[in-house]
Amino acid sequence: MVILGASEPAYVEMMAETVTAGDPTYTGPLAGVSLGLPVYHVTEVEVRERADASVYQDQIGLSEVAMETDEIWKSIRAVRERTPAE
Amino acid sequence: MTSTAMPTVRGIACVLAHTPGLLQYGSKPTRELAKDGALIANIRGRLRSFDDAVAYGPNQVFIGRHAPEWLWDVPEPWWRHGDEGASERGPAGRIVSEDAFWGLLRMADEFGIVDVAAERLARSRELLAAGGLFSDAELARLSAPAEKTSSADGALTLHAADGTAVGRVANGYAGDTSQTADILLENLACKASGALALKELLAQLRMDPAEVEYVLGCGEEAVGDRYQRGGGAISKAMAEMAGCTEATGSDVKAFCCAPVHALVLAGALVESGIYRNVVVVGGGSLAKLGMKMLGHLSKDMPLLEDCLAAVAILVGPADGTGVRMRLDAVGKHTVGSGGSAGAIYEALVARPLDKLGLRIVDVDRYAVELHNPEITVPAGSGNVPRTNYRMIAALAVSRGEMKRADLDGFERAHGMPGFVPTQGHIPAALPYLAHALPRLRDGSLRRALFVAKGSLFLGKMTNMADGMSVLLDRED
Repeated sequence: MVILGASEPAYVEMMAETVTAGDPTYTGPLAGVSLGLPVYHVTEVEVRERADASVYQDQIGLSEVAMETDEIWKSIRAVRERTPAE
Repeated sequence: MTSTAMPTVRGIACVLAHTPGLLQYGSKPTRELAKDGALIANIRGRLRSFDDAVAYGPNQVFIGRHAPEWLWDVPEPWWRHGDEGASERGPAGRIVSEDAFWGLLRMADEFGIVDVAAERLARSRELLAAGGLFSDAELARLSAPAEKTSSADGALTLHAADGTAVGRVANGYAGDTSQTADILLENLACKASGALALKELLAQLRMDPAEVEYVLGCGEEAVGDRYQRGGGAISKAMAEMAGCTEATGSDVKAFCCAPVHALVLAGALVESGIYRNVVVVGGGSLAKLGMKMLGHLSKDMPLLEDCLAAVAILVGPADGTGVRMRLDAVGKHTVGSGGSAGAIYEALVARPLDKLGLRIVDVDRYAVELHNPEITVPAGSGNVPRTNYRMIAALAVSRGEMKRADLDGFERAHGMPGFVPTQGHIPAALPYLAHALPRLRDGSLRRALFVAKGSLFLGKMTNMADGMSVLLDRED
């Protein structure tokens, strides 16, 4: 499983795409390589519910306030739907 | 410390050397060309002309011709919408062409390492003489042939943007892996561009070079030899090239936040009374030319990382302008601060402001890592300043100093668009001094916080990052 922590929705989408369907920018070693890995963002409920709440708050809390989480979740879910994990 | 005794920033020069021919010797292009030599044609086909580099909006902001906020209104992509009123000279600095830079490289070389064709040097001499920063005596060496005292083995060929060979760079001491031609070129490019910034600063301030007492280098190059790779003091080499006969210097190394460390140290040297005139200088980073080029090539964009950027900043005692460097509230990320993003911003922003009893929104402008997003976004590296502004805004929200609803507007209200080439340490906050200083002096800005972070972990000595911040304000 890949857990992303980036804050920009477009970047999250690109990274998610890279580890599922393959590098959409064709600039790295995963260009044309479809890994089909399950991918989540660290702020998604599937991940945060498994984390110790105080550690999560300490490490991610402020970053989550700064992030456009609705957009991030929308982007990463769309990638998962387009390329389901193998 | 009494408030009137606080040191101030007396001036800043920001210079660019447009070096499209040298782009192929950036780290990324070098590695890609080693895999596929045919890529050179794609690279050369995507290089910008000097006129395009001058007209490029972010470059005009860098030399002070426009405020950073002006870029909000320039349509994107900025590279398609050049500034019609652009100039090579701005209130903060200038942009020099590669034709002039060949001469600067030759002038920076004391060991016969760089050999440039005589007709190229003649053209450089003409351009540099017209630029007015260098005297006839300083330019005289451009008429003399290179001494060719160094080893010719492994020499590297210098090319103009169109691929024409214009000269060569020799290795240093034979067999010394710290002085191969590519490393020496990197170091000489840093020295030449840093010395240009220093010259520009002295000219701007109409200052006698002999008044400079100490120079702190804050670049990232490893200047040395096999026994002390990274031995340093490129600062003194730059001081010599700029004619600062009474100066010595040393280098401050802390990855991208070295410039803020250096600024604070400069302030401390002045505050302590050891020196009156201390210059912080950062030369350009050849290694970072073309760093994001694969992203740019894949999007049919010009290769925007075609300029070496350098800055020089004079720190001195209070000068009657009322602008103060607040050494009583320096922000630093300590070993014990913790590595989360929240901990870093707490250390660099909240703690120093708490010392002064200020809220985050009391700072008019935050200068963060001011990387030009048009360079980084297409390569998947995100909008660096925007990410910083959102974190500072989130900190303000978490401290109850700002409503969550105002978070999106923080970037425009207290930040600025990135306008600095991705030259590592150079985008680290300080180029905003060119815009902040006049505004602090005229009272249209009261406070600006300069915040920089450094990726120490890249050196594989620690997993830690680093960071420093310093506030400049106007004494009421």
